[in-house]
Amino acid sequence: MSRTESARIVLEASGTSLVRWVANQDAVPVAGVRFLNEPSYNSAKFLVNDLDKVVHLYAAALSSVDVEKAEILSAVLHAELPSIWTAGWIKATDSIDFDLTVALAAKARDWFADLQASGQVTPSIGIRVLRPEPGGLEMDVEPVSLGYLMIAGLDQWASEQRDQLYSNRLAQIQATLGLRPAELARLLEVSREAVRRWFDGAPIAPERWSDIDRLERIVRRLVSYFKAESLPALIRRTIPGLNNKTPLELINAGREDDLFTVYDAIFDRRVTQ
Amino acid sequence: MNYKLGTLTYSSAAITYDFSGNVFRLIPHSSSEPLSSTYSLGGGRWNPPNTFPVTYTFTDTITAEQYMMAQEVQWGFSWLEVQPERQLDLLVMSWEITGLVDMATNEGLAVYNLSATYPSGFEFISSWALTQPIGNFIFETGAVGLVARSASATDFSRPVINWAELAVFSERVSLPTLMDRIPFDDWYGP
Repeated sequence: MSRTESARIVLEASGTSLVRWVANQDAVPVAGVRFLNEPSYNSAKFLVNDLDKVVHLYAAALSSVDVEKAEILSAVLHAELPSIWTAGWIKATDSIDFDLTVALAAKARDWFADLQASGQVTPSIGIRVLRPEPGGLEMDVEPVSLGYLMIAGLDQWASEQRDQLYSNRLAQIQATLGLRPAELARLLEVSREAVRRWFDGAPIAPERWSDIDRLERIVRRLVSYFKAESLPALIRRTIPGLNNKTPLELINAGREDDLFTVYDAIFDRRVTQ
Repeated sequence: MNYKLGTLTYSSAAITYDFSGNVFRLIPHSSSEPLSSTYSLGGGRWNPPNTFPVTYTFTDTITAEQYMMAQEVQWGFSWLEVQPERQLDLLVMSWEITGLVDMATNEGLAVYNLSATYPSGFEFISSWALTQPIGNFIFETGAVGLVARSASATDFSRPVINWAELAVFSERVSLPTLMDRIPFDDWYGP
């Protein structure tokens, strides 16, 4: 199925067709009942994590309409869960996961309709607004339960953003320095397998973030001195003034300050010898 | 590069030089204050960090080129690889300065316990730990600067004007006259 066809389903299909399409993508959630019966931060987190498949399925489908807006949609839907939970979308306990699936699409449609009305997406796409039907499940919702959903949704979104940020950061470091996976693994003191998994999309553990931040700072500083295209060769070249070590070896040994002391003197202090 | 070299007049009694004419300075292409010496306060060969500003100059463009090449060899990069705003333009300045301390002749070096082989062994920044106290001492005597052997030069058999650097204590002299500014690409580029 093409991306355009997927977008049409998300924006125009009936609730039944939408659920069928989501089921075909193996993305229907299963955690709604648990949160209904035991509202807690943990069950909210579980539900949000479960709904994440649907959120990203919709965002991916709508990227054919507008890539940037589809990325923002993920944030919007993560924040909409309390509203969905309380607005009469859930018809019965045994349909809760399907109802949530439809409700998320309804929120996506509302948001795109608003964008369309304000001229931020093309008027040529069709949007069929969905509304909850009367006769939904009577739910006695505690505000604190909605708080769990809200926090879990934002936590999930923030966590995804950080994962994406560090994944992008790592790719940028590797590309700028022209690092082979083994070199990157050595710099981060992890296995080559770990690096391979990260580039395959696995999340990067938070305890690695500071190492990646350090490398990013180093790269940014190197780029402030040298043309980016020269760095892959330059970092492998020996420096007689620093005991014939290469910049890469110095960075590996945590001695980048030695390197930058020299570069500062050459480039920033404007003194000769 | 056809810029007339300046003249150095030696006073053996005072062990000082008087300078008159063109000197050459390297500054980043992005610099909009070519005569400023503020950045030297970070420390240089003859001034410890955060003490007094020094304008470091060459007396010959060939020595300036040798400096550039020495940097490439010592530090493993090519100036062509450097960000364009950091590549060095060549300034031509005209200056009249009297009483520059002699750190160029064997006699002058001996006054400060430096051997006649200087600058051999003093090529790297680590050697500044030895030269900065000397520069500081000279500054404390009230001098206006010094004439030194360029650490990038290798042949000291020619006249001093062909291989010297002037380290001028810029707060104690009037500003030089800016004669020309040659962009990096035109004097050292590809």
